[in-house]
Amino acid sequence: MDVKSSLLSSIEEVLDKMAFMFFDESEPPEAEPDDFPFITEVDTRGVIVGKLNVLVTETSAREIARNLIGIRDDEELYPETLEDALREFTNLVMGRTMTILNPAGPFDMDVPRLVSHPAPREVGRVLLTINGALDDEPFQMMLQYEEQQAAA
Amino acid sequence: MSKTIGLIDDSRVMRSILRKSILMNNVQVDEFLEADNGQEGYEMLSGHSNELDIAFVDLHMPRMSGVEMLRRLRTEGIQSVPIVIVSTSADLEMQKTCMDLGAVGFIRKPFTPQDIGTLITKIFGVGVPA
Repeated sequence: MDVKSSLLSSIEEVLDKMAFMFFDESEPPEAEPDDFPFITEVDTRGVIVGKLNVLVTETSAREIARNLIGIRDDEELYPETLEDALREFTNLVMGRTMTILNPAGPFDMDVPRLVSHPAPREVGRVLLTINGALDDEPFQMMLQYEEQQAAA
Repeated sequence: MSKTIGLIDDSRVMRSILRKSILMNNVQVDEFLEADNGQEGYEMLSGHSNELDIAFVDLHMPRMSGVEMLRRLRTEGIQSVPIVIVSTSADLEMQKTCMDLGAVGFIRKPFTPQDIGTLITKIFGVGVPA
């Protein structure tokens, strides 16, 4: 499976199994950078040497956090809980992508972090951008990885 | 009978997900004992081995990995707590190592609440423990 298919498979599996949400790449809603107040970032080493950014709307961020952790709509969702949930979500997506690409291979990932902007394009790295709809909300992932991974 | 369940994972969110998944399976829980790193988890398992009915242990944690924890517990003869390893890894060799060291189950992230229910049922016998 190539990198894009692996990332798509991973996001669909994580959303389906743990957040009970649906991702559709076929008709991405139009989105502006301001639509994504929550951006996570994680660096990886292993079958992919690179960096993943996940961009979500506020509505999606809250939905992901509530569904992952099991917080009811009438319960308060604290900002630090929301951010922790998005970090864990990113960790799950990237980790699963790595194991789809190389099931037995060791890999290393930093702790995901919240950032204000996606990482700038790095020379010598492939940029893979996936746009889609997450339960009708715009959703974007940007994966930059070292060139030799393009044939993975 | 209510269960005392150990959750050892450096991610607070993952411990919450495990808690939610266990409770969604109608397991009657007396208490969740939690640790956020391998060393504290090891001490918790050592000190509460007679109270814990099962423990879910992350494979990759700061201060002590899940494998190292299993190895130490085995060396010290503390094997009364059924331990389920939780990991993103799909490495069959790693799974075998964990099982050889005494783990009773291995669950790969991402998992569903049903996956947790199936595992608990398997470990405690027929039917979800009451």
